[in-house]
Amino acid sequence: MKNKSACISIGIICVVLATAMTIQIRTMQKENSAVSQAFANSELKDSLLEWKEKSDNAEDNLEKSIARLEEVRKASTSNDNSSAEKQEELKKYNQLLGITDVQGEGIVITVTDSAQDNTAMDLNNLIVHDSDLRSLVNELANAGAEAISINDERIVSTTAITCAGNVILINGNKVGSPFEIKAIGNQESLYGAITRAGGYAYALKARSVQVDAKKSNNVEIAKYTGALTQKYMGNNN
Amino acid sequence: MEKKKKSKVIKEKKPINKATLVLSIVAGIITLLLVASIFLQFRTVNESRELDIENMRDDELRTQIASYKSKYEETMEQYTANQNTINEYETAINENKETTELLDQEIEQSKTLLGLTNVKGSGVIVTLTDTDESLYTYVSDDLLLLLNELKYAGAEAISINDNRIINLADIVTLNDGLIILYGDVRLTSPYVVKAIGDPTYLMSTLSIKNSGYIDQMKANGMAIEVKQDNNIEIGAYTREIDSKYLQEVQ
Repeated sequence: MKNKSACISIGIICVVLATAMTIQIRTMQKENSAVSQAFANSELKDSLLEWKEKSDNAEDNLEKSIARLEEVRKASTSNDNSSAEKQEELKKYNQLLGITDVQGEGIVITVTDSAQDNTAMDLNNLIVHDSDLRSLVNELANAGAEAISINDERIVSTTAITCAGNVILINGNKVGSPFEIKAIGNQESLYGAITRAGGYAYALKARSVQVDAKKSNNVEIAKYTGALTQKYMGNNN
Repeated sequence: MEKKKKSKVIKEKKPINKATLVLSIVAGIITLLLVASIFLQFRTVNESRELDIENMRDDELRTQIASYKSKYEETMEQYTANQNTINEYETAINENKETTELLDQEIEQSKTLLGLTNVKGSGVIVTLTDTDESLYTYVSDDLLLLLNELKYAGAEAISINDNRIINLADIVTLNDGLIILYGDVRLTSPYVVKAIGDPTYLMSTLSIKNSGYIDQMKANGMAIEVKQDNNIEIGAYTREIDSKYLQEVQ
């Protein structure tokens, strides 16, 4: 039989491939019991990955254009005093808008889902919800925070903190426990707001959610990487 | 796969026969394709793990897709606007012209986005009223939730009882039930919340059945009224925005 060796090699290949596929499918099943559903919506997933990539690329381009804008702005006004003042003014506004990186004294708070595995307790109480994050942001703002971020998502004027199913979205991006909340402002009053009896963080701790606050002389908060647009509002002087 | 290579090598030592050659080439191609497909599959699984989209349900996936889509569009819009400003600066530099005007425009734009100017546009007006039939009176959390919903629906400017809401606005309910904005502005019923943005989108977000803001409030027996308006005027934030502690990152 001339073809014997070929047949044998094909046979071996088949065995190897079948084994690999079986292992693969079994791994996936172990990982995710909803595997059949995962196949069903694979088109949606492809679409999601595609849009995420597009959006990430656009953000990269935006970042480059911001850097370039700063360059030409500087270059165009290098020998003009009133312009230098105006540039400072613009810089200040952009810091407040959240579209530049900032630093200063403040606090860093880490909020983590409860480690308790006590089924007697309501599971809803043990995890951190979008409403919890909103309340903490409000409390920090009340204590005079000038810039806040959660897991590096800068809180800007258009920021919504929402949940979609079991994920929390900030600025449209997914965030999860542990949540690192950074705030710049007077560190004593920020720390006081988070540690005071009767405060929101106090209520979180009562639910056995872990809240850990640390004062810092230098908190760095990254800028908002999305766009702030003005499509519907016009000036009304 | 190594096994396959080995068998190929062994085979080649034997006198080469045409049929065998064809067969092994075909086998080789098939193997290559399968290996490639398995490789791709593994990569897809890895990628989806990165986003944790494996465990997402269809509606979550759709929400995420929509969110990335609108983010992409907004980012591109801002990018184009920046490119235009860059071009204007570059032209001014080349022609040795004044750029003060350009700088003023940029400052004006930032002030508008911060809430430091009067603005007008289309949007919605939400009126929350405490009535005798209400199960409880409106509290700061209700207002904060409404602000969050409006922002989610793309509101560009918001005011409550004619107080402009800027970033990091704080609203608290004191022990005696008073609702306080910015630490010292007292808010009372009726709470008139104006928002400028896409009226249809604002309206439909608030009107989502059961989980939307309107139904949530109504389920609690609260009085709420929402109407679209094509000519909403929202005044500027008139105080100084604190920035004592913010420093530039070098």
